[in-house]
Amino acid sequence: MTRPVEWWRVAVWAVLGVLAVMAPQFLAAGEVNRLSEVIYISVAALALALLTGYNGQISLGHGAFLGMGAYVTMILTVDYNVSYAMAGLIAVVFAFVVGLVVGLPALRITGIYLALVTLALATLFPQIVVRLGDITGSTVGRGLVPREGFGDSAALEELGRRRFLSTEGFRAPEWSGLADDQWHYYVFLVIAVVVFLLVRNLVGSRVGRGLVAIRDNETAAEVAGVPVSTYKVLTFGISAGIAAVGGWMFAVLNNAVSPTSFTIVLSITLLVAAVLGGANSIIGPVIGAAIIVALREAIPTESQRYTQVIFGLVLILVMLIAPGGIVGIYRRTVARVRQTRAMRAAAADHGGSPDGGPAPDTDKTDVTTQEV
Amino acid sequence: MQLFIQRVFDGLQAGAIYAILALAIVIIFRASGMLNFAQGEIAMFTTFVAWNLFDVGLPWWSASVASLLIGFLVGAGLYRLLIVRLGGTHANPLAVVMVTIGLFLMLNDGAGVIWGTAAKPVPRVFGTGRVELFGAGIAIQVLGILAVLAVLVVGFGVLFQRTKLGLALRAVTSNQESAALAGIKVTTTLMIGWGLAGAIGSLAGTFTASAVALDKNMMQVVLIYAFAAATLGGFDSPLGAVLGGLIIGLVSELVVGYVDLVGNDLRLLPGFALVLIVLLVRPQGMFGSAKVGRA
Repeated sequence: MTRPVEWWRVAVWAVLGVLAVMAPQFLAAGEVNRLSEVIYISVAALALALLTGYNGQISLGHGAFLGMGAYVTMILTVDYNVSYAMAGLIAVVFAFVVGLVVGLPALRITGIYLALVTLALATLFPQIVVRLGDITGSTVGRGLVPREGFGDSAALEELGRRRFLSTEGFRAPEWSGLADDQWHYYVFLVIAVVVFLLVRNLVGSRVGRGLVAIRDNETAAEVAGVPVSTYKVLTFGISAGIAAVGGWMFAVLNNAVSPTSFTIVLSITLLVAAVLGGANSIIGPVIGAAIIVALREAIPTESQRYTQVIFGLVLILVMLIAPGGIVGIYRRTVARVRQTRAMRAAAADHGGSPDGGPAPDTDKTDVTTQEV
Repeated sequence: MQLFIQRVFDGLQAGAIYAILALAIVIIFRASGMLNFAQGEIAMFTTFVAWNLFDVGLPWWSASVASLLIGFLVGAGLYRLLIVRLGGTHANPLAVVMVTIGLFLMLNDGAGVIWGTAAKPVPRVFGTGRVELFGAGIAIQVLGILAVLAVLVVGFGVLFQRTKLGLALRAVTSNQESAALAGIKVTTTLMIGWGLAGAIGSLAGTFTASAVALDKNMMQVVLIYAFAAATLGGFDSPLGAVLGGLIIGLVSELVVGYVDLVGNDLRLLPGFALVLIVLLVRPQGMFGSAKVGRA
């Protein structure tokens, strides 16, 4: 499907791109870290958007996949002297495989049971972490120790086993001339852009149309020759792998991992990010993630305990008022404007009255209209 | 042997609690083909309200009864105010899941905001007495919970088979449109169904609080087990849910007790494994009716 290039779109993206690249130069370290947070949440929310918005499968447990990514990264870099890049790759493959296993029941059962299985996974994950306390640091968690330091001194390793909040870890190389927080941000940004482009291309491809067909009507998709089972399981695996990319970022950014970060609350927060922005879009998760982080920042410290209550309320309100999320509202508005214009034009042509009926429901393909 | 008997009864107590919550889940599933993911948190919340009443001087049993009524109101309100607005459970299942999950988060952290995060000890409805059974001292509370479960099962049978309301619920489950044509007020009937589920769920809440301690996260594990129980028994079978609950309570108590690998930290694992296996091998569970899909 080729569309004429819309120059204003290109301009908006160019401005956003320049802003994204320049931002760390003008912000304090803490603020840059907030932006990095937006990036890792966007990536994990994108994983959910691909799964839920495009393929119609639901997961209440993506926080667990994010956690897997973070823990695999931590354990490999600290205990096995693996490079950060390699650890990230292995983390993604690990989550992908677990995702395949968890996604398997989705073939036999309808979506609501998948919600159940993933909810169980979200609840189970922190327990497994605590159970494997010898390597995960149990309830306190562990820090990421700089590679070079590992193995040289037993004391350092001992520190690593006790939640050693290293100031080192994933550091900016000399040549870049960047501070660590800026370096994190730029690395995350590049990875995120690659992931987003990959997902965009996947969704726009023949396979992507197959995914949407499965979401809208599984039987029809099957009849039309879409390999439903394969696609569903693979989508779940890929989605889990993408969430693990977010997990790698989490580990690098926080330089420590502990089970309390990866509870059911994280899973639901990711869901809020995806749905609020618009799960049936690529850019929606970014908008959702930005709002989540901004909300957290905007809520004064003494009211922080209301944060989750607000997120829960947001999720409910979005479902009631604008199930397509912010992107859905935008799409609907654009469609309405276009229709009004077309009607006026038609009316002018025929001299009839510009009687604008209700706009066609272009929001039809939002996250909620498919069968579960 | 004494330890074994003790563990069996511990397992039965846990299992009965799972079974009660599973019953609440089954009511909603039967009536609307939907799982209420906030069921456990509603129970937790009403139990906190009961604790408040207890705190100002009401006896625990009457506070528990009050929480039952509040559970009914919350369940019915959830259906009437939110689920109906979404166009019901069949039109929009994914949105309903999201809304119940949003409610989950709100109630969970709301309870933390209102009542704090420290666990509160709660008395037992049936007192702290013990009776000698098979050489082990069994708490009367455990026997009481089992009795409540038995009453619920009988009550269920009577409700669904012998009353107008039960008939209406069954009609709505079977075919909403035809039920409406036959003069049944579908929305009201479903609202009562969700309310009943909320009430029964809050029983599970008070029993759980007595068994462990009242805590905002206490129902999460119970909910997973209740789902496991309903999965094992078949989502549309009350009897299956009860048997499933008891089996899962027993099995996980014994596995946790006798298999070191699982231990106390991994309490949820047996339940989770069971759910996955049942869903893969026999999705309709032990007593559920198999759905015939088109694909």
